[in-house]
This record gives sequence, structure tokens and C-alpha cells, in this order.
Amino acid sequence: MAQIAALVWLRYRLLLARAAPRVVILQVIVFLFMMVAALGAYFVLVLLFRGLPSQMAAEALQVAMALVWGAWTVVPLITGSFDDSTDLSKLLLYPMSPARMTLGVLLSDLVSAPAGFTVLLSVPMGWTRRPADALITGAAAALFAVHMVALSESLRIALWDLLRSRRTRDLLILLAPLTGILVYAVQGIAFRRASLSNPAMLLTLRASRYLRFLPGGLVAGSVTNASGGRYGASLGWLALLLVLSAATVAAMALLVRRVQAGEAEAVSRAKYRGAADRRRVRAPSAFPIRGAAATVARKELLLFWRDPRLKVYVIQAAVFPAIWVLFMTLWTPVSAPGAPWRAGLFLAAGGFTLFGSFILGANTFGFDGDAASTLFLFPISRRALLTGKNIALWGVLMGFYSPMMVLLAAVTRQWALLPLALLCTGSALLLSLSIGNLLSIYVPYRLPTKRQNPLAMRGGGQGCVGFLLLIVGWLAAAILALPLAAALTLPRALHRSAWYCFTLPAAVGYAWWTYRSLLSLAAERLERREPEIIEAVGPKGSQAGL
Amino acid sequence: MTTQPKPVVAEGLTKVFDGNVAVNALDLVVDRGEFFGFLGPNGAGKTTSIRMMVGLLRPTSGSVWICGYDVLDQPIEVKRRIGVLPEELNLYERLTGSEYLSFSARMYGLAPTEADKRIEELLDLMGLREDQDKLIVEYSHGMQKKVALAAALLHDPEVLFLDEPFSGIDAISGRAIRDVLRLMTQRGRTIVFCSHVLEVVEHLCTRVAILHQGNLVGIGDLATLRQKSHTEGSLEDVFLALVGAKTDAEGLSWLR
Repeated sequence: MAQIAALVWLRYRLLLARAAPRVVILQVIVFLFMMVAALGAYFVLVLLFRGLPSQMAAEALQVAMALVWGAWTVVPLITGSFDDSTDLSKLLLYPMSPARMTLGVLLSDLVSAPAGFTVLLSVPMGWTRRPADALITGAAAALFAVHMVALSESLRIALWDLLRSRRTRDLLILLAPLTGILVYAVQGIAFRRASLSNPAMLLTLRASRYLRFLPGGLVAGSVTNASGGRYGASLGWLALLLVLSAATVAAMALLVRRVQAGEAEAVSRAKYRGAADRRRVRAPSAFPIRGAAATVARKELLLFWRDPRLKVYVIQAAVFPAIWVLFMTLWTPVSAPGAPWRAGLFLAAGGFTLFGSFILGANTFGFDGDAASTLFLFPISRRALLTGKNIALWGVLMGFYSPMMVLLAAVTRQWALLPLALLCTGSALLLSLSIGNLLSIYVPYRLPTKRQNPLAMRGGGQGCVGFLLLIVGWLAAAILALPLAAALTLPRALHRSAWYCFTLPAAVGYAWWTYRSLLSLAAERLERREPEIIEAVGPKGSQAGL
Repeated sequence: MTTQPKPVVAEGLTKVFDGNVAVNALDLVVDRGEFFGFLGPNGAGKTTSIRMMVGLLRPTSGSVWICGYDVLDQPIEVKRRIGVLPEELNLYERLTGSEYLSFSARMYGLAPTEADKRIEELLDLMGLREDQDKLIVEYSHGMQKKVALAAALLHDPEVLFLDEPFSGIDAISGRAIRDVLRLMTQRGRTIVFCSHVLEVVEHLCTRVAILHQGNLVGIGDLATLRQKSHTEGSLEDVFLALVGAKTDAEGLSWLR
């Protein structure tokens, strides 16, 4: 018993140890929020149960349980490969029976997700009418939770070597934001389709035909039958769920026993595969420019290409214009291609680059992370260092934004404005980078490390004051961009296209001059703030590495 | 004839973290061609001192001059003259070993042909030739240390700061690196060296500074330190005497 308690304590301790105090407070707030959400879900489900036809409500429960099952099974597979607290190989040293280890790990998983369990419980509890129903739904939810935890652990143990390989982890880091974007796109398209079709069609869906014999379906069967007073059928479904849960736990215990008996065979295999993965990397072609700035730019481009974390941020930086394109594609009437407001929307897309590029440009040393201390050891001028970083970022972002602008031109049929929009984008990027350089020096912050869960990578580490400064910085960039916007839009608004001959070169010149001026200022300040930047972006506690 | 400035001069170097004094008013002068050892128990302030000396950590008070240049006021001039192997390696893990060295060579302004020649020789010396085209993230800790050390040696720095250079390094490479470091000091280069392995320090260093709880408790060659500690033994005996350490294995009741 002491060993099982120790495992539960270990999980809880490691979960808290990873988090800074303010994150713990945030987690408490999230937990409370989840409790309120669970209560809300309970009432919504009661209303749903009372308000909808019983067949439709049962279908909704089937879908809900299937989604819970999918999420609870798959998400730990993704997050677990980044999480030392779930690393079974660390426990193999201890004299622990497979049964105890299985039980300990199961309990650890359950206690580390109390909010999720509450939500899970609330869904079937929404169907409760009588005390007997509560007993059955509670038992069904508990068995379902045990089954899901055991299943995800079994999968994690079985796929250990695959999940722990660097390539899988890189892929998972990259997949997380891509999935988010995909969900957003599918959601947008689905709403668009739903608004065009007959909503009554949704009432005729029969998900239970496909889902009733899945684990979630067993829960739904037990709960809906109990609610309808058919306790025999309900207990029958519950018995099936009990058998399934017991089988899953037994399978997990078997896998744990095999890992123990094979002296961490899976771990050894992972190491072996890791060694096999160490293949040679193709040397890049020669970089066309020479000099210190070019050397930094080349290094940045290599890292953008090879580091999945950086790719994630580049993708996020491209999300804003991408969403803009999606919005334009889905919601603008095709019948009015020449409407003047569409030209304005098209040119405004350039302004979105200010948003997007800020994600990357305003914390340029954060991406170096621990290696910032190495970068600052090199005796190159800080102007060249910043220039190199800016060249790389400008190139990468223009590489993303340019095709989007072409796509947007095709959607809005504003081909004539495409060169203007590209010019606007390139110049806006320069202004964004010029403010971003200063923010990188004065508000640097540590980014999540490579070991962290990719699903938790969206949060910045800059704190409230830093976040406010970022907003102020973005506003400053937006204000700096006003002359640019005027130079690009006024000739069109006043129907004086000939003015572009003067306003365009002036706009580009203005952006370039602003960038160069602020770059000089930033380079001078950087030289004096390097220790503070290292302290901010490096590993936590590095300053105390005595 | 003009006298050359001392390679390393620290005056009143102090660092306070949240009220805890990590390094307390450290005064230090290291001469040209010296192999200078920095010793101390865990948490003594060795790494903090080195980080301040190379400009990676701002001191709470005090100053450091490297080859006559103030570390805080003339950081670029200082960094041109130093090579650093930090305790935390902090490499760009998504570059290959040879790419990282090539990047470092360019950053130190080495001519391409000279850089290529030096990189080839360093890869051979470190035994990294076979793995030069693999990503650093795939390297073992020892291999990563070798790459970092190679990068620190690449531009033939006037002062070399090495924090635990031999931990994780195999015996063959360790011997080769020791020979290179000796050769460097013979050519007038200065090495500031930090290690827990006292035998290595005793074997290599001409002078040693011993830090304890942020304070300099002894500095000089072995004879001077013996005199100060009133001990006639190895560097380990001197070290233990100066930091006042107790090594009472009998204190473990269940082993008695």
C-alpha cells in the first residue's frame, strides 16, 4: 500500500514541481472553472434530456461519450511522451510487483485528472431521475474512467519506443497547432454548410448504429436504459462495461509484467532505435551572402527548418492571415467581386502581418533559449546579429505570407492590388521587426522547453507586465504603420492612381528608414542588456547555477 | 617596451541572488600563460564567478577586465579574446557538429580556408569525425562537450574559461585535450579551469583559487596553499582543510 501511495504522491508532486506558483494558481482557477463547467454541463444535459425527444437525447449521449473516450485515450499518448511523471522506466528499479505498479499508475492517472473525471461524471449524471439511476450512472462513469486510463496506459507502454523517439516527438509538436487550425477550418466550413442546409437533417442522424458497441456506447446504453426504468438492460450494459474495464486493466498489468520481466525491454529497444535514427543530415547548399549577419541568418534558417518548436511558432504566425483568407473565402458573397470594400479588406490583410510577425519578432532571443548565452559569446557587432535574425525571419514570413496573398487575390478577384498588398506586407513586416527588436531586448521571456507538452505550448512566459508591454509594442507598430497605410490606400480612395508613383517609393523608404533607425538603437541597447536577456530566456535557475 | 595587460583581473566581484551572496568581493589576477584552477565544493560560486568573468552574468558589484578590456563596457573586445566552455553547454542542437563549428568559425571571423583546416583537425582530435554530420541533439553528453570544447578552441583564444571540461569525456580524448591545453599555455595562452576532480587540477594547474560559500579562502600554488592550510598532503587534503570539510564515513550508523 505504501508503494502505491508513493506513486500517487510522486505524480502529484511532479505535476506541481513543473509549475511555477502562478501556474499552480492558474491550475486551481482552471480546476474551479472545470467544476463550474461540469455543473453547467449537468444542467444543460438535464435540460437536453427533458427538452429533446428521448431518441435524439440518447444519440447526443452516444456522441458525447465517444468523444470523451477518444480524447481521453489519445491525448495522454501525445502528452505522455513529453512527461517524465508518466515514465514507467524510472520505476523499474524498485522492487514492485506488476499488480502494485499497475494499480499505482492507474490511481496516479485518475488523481492527476480530477477535473476531467468530474466532467466525465457529470455527463451521464445529467440523465439521473431516481437514486437508483445515480448509482448506475456513477458506477458506469467510474468503470469508464478506469477503462480509459488503463487503455491509454497500455497503448503508451506498447508504443513506448515509438512515442519516445525524437522524430515522433517532433511530429507531435508540429501536429498540435496544425490540428488546431484544421479543427478551426472544419468548424468554419461545417457552420457554413449548416447555414446553407436544412437543420432538421441533423435530427435524423443515428450515431448509435456505429457507436453503441464502443466503450462509450456501453456507458450510454447503461445510462439511458436506467433512465427509462429498464434496469435489467441497464445492468446488462454495465456488466459488459465491467468486463471490458477488467480486461483492459488485465492487459495493462500484462504489459507492465512484460516490461518488468524483460528488464525494460521497451526502453532498451527505444534506445537502440534512437541510435539507428542517428542518421547523417544533408549539408545545406552554400548561403549566397557572406558576413556575420549572413552567418546568423543562415543559422536561423537552419533552425527554422529543423526545430519543430520554431516551425510551430512560424505556423502560428501565419495563422492570422490564414484565418483572414478563410473568413474571406467562406463569408464573402461570390456575386460581388468588384465591391469596393473587398479591396479594402484585401489590403488590410497586410496589416494582419503585424499581428502574425509579432509572435516571432518580439522575442527573438527566446527562440535561442539556453543557446542565447552561446550566441552572445561571439564577438560580432550586435547590429549584424539583429540584422541576421531579421533577414531570416523576414524571409520565412514572406515565404508564408506571399502565397496567402496570392490566394486572397484569387478569392477576392483583386489581382491588380496584389503587388500593392505584397509591398504593404513586406513593409509592415519591417516595421514590426523594428519594434520587435526593442521588445526582444527589453521584454525577453523563456519559451516552453522541448520536453514540454505540445498541447500546452500556446502560453507565453512573459507575465502580465510583459504581455502589456507587448500590446503597447504592437500598438506602436500599428501607429508606425499608419503612414504606410495612408500611402497605399489614399490614392485609391481619392481615385488618383498616379499618386502611387510617389507614395509607394515613399512608403517603402519610410519603412526602411524607420527600421534602420530603430535597429541602431536596438543594437546599442542589446550590448548592455545581454546578461539580463540570458537570465530571462535561459533555463530557470541558471543564474543560480553556482 | 609596453607591458601587456593581465589576461584576467577581477576586483571586488560580487553577486547576490535574492539576498543570498553567491560570490563575495572576489579579487583575482591571473597571469599570461597560467593554467589557473578554480576549486570549491558544490554551490561555492565557481560557475557564477566564471559567468561574470565572461560577461554572461551581470555582477551585483565589482569589475572584471580581460586583457585590459572591461567585460561590461567593452563586451565585444572581450569576447574576441576568450573561449568559453560553460557548465551548461547550451548548443544549437538542431545543427550538426560540423555545422556548429563552421558557424562558430564564421562568428569569430576566421577565414574560410583556415576555418575548414582547424575544424578538420579539431574533429580528428576530439574523435568526432564519424559523427560530424549528425545533429547535436543526437549526440551523447560527452560528444556534445567535445563539440563545445572544439568551438571554444577554434579561434585560438587568448584566455580560455573551462567549466568541468573533462566530465563525460573518454580517456583517449581527455588525454589529447590535456596535451592541447598544455601546449596552449606554453604558447602564452591563459586557461581558467574549474573542476571537482582534484587530481586533474593538481596535475595541470600552476595556481589554484579555492572558493567556499562565495568567499576566496585560498589562492596560490600548492606550496603556498599547504602553508596556508598547515597541511602537508595532496591538493585534496589542502582543499578539505581550507573549506573545513568533515568526511566522517563512520557517521552512517547502519554501516558501523
